[in-house]
Amino acid sequence: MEKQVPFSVFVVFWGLLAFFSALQGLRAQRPLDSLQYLKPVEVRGTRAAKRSENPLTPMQAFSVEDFRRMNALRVGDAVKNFAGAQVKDYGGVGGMKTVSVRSLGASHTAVSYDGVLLSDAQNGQIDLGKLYLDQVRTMSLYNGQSSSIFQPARNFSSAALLQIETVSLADLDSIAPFSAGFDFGSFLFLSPSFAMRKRIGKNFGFSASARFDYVKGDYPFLFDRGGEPRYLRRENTDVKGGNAELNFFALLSDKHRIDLKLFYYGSERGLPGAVIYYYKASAQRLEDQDFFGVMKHAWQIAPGWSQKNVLKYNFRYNRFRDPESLASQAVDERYRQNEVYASSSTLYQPPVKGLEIGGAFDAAFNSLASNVRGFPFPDRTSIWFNVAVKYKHRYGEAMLSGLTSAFFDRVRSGNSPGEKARFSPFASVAVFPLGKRIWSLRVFYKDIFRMPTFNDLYYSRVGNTGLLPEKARQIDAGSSFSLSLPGRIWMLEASVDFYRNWVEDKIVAYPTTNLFVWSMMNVDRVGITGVDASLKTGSAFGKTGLLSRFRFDLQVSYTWQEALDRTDPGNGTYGHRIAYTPEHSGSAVVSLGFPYGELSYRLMFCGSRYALNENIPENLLEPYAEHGLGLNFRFEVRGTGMEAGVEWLNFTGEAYQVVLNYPMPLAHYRVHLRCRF
Amino acid sequence: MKRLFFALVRVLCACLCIVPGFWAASCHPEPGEDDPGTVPPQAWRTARVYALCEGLYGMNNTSLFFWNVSTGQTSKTLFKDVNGRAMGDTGNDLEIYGGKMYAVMNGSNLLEVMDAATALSLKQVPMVDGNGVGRQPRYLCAYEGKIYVASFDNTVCRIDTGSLEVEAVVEVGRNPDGICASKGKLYVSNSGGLDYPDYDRTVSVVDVASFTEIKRIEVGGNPYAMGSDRRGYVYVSTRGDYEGYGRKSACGPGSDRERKDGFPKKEGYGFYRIDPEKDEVDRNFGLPVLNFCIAGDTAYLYRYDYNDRTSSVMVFDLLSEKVLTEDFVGESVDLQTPYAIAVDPYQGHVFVGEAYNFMRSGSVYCFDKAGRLLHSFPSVGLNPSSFAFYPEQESR
Repeated sequence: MEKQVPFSVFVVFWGLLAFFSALQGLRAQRPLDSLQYLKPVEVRGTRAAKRSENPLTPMQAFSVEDFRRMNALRVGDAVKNFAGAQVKDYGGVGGMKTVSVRSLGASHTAVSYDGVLLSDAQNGQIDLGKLYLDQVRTMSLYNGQSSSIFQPARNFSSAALLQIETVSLADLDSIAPFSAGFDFGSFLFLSPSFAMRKRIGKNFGFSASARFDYVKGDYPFLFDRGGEPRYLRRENTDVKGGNAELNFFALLSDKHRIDLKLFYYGSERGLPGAVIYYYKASAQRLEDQDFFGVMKHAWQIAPGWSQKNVLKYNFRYNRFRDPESLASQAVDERYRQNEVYASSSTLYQPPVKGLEIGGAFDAAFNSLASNVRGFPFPDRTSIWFNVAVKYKHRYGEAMLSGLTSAFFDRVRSGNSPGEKARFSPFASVAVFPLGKRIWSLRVFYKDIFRMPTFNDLYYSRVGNTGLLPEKARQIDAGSSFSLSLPGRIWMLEASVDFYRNWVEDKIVAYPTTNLFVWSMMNVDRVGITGVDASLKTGSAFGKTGLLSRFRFDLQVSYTWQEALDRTDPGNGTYGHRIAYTPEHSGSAVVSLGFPYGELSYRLMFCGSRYALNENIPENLLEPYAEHGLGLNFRFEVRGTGMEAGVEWLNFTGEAYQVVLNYPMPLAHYRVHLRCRF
Repeated sequence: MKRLFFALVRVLCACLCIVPGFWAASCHPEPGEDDPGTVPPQAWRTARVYALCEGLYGMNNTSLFFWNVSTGQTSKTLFKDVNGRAMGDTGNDLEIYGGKMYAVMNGSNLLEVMDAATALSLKQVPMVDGNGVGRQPRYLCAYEGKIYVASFDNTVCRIDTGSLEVEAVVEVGRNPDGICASKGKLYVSNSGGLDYPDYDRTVSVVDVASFTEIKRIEVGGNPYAMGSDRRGYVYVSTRGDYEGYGRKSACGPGSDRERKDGFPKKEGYGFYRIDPEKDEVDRNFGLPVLNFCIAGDTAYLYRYDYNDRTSSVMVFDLLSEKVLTEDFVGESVDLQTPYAIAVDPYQGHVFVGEAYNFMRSGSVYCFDKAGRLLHSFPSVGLNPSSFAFYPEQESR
């Protein structure tokens, strides 16, 4: 019944919007100009990295320059600088990194890679520690969803969207065709990489890249279990991994564009586990392989009509071993996952100025197989259907979308969770009081959910097929100010958002059969109130001459949050802050550019938080601040671009933990060398 | 005078190691000493009550709660206060024997040995095999001057109370969970819990003198807590498939664990008696018991159904083999998740550890024999799993 309220609001809003746009249409001029005509073809080229193009929802974006200033090597490093994002970092180079946005939990953050979601039906979370930034041009974090309505329906299906865009055809002219690099650093980190990009003729191009990495990762950490603090070393932390990516771009005609992508990642690593007092590290090992291929086709059907079609196949494999298990049979679990995904999205720009209507239909088939005894071999057929309408005006912008999704689960043996369907509305309005997009005020509402993953449902003993989707409702009101004018040497962007989120039927693991055996349950309710603020500014010291080669940049983000347990007033933790949600957190990056180089400083801080939902001193995790320094040089030797950098990470030697008993490395360094030719 | 006192304390400790819930009163008097029933417990008063709070696996947050009965003083961080260091990870079991207190640390894979009067650590005995791999110790029992620790790696280790070294190791069934001693023999419940769903259903009998396994007795599936009474009978609770009696799972709406796992799940909790003369099961009481403790001729049994989260504490007469009280705690407390039960050997009070949802600090309740609540201690620590009682120094 609770669903009816937002739905009726939605219907009324749609009606009003249709009426308003029809009215506007009488005055609008047609036909479309040539720029609009070409737009769908250039869809990938116009990566909306600018706030002004995304006024409806809070959006933060980083580009290649930002990554360098943040000393970031992987996506998981850079994500830490987004306001409102908490990266769960299990430490070390090979440690898993997942991002929870606005305390909703990592499973509510979708990660899109060149417009198509990365997916893992088994555990639902994307490990951002496995994605390198080598090929990445921009990375944007959207709360709610992106303002673009011309997207696959599945991209609307999460509470937050991390959008990663890599090199595209349009970039091929501006970057050198070959690059070779070598990164190395503390704890025997070695990582050679190679990339090649080439435009063939006017309309074709390809890019290929590969990276291998090895790290021993046996970093020392400060061990404080009371008594004399001691330094110990992490064990079983080695990672061997590599990834390779191949892209083809083709502009078949003015109207058709095809992109092909093949992606592979594989690794074998130790899982050191939590530090257990008075005992050694675990000997568990994890091997994983991930391959996907994507074909994208974008075309212009007719003036005002454009379409994007996506086909994707994804194979994932992982193998978990525990040589020290005391069970009679050796623990050697293997899982194979397949996904076939297809999407078709259509954008219609009616002959009404500023109006856009988008529709998208996606379908996916996922299956999971395993050698685990009694495994139910589940599969899931999912469909998503999204309709969105957007209206742009000089003084405002509005968007409404409704996502209908349905899931059909089957199992070969055992209990099946059956079918689930939900309607998820989204509504957003932004106004530009100055009549220009430099200043905007916005408000959005989104009602979304996440499906229980295969692990939630079926993992040996832990899984529970009775699980319901976990719902998340968000309300956000905010304002952005963005000033970067052509001809000016300085830029300024500022943004602040106030939000309330409600999570219901949160899927949490609880001990069920005994303390060693936990099971997933839909038990918790969480109420989240928060403020995200970010500021980005930069300026060159002069317009021309030597001074213009000096510049200063600053980027600051800050989050205040209160994520409270609202499960049961009779429970002792009602009203307590939920685990791992600091009240204050933030980051800052300051950099000074000079001819041939750049010096940057990065700070990340996180206030005190609790390791369990009970807010007692025993569960308290101390606040921490991590400081990093980076020095980069870029110069040219006989036409070859050279890049050399050194990063001194956590240089104050702060001993801290993001996750309890997973200590982070103390001061360490990293060097990177790269040449482009 | 003082020597006499300590001798008496020693006898009492030895005789009435009723302590932690699982294998309560598993121990027998030292050879040549009186039967525990002939020492009037009323002559002694409990001076200190200890509760071991297990914490959660991987969080290194085991703690030791203590209550000084005469002064009323309590501390929930006794071990850390006394020893200046954390106790470690996942403390499963606690017992006082011969002036020393022993805590089985499952996650840290060690036996923490403390002075029973002060909780001052005397030694950490590593419970690891020759390759340094943890044995995952679960429960212990003291018998004739030795400590016996049952560990998940299918072994029982014998530890000398003087040298505090592992003297001998004997192989038993799969993943032993409970241990008790009777008539010169050790009884070990082989849970097979790590081989889910293929649980073990036997109790291993180990001859103390030769320290060899002499027999395996078939009981219900997934046997757990062990205990013996003063006649020498051995009792064991079995968990089966954790199904409540005739109950379907209630893990979320529409859930049905029986079909989900693809294995037929029929067996609920059980409670059996073993005759130590023949080493055979001579009674199947047909009672749903997860855990129990024995005091004199009375057993306090509790059931906690992990599926529907209901629980009850029963009083069972071992002589008449009848349930005396179906609901021992009655209305006096709203008991949610009993996690430990023990009887104070000196006063006869019943202590129950309450774990709530396992994620927040538990409570300890103290009842008299009639089930009236005498004391309640909120927020003692995470998951109180075991109790130990230390008697008054001077009775006059």
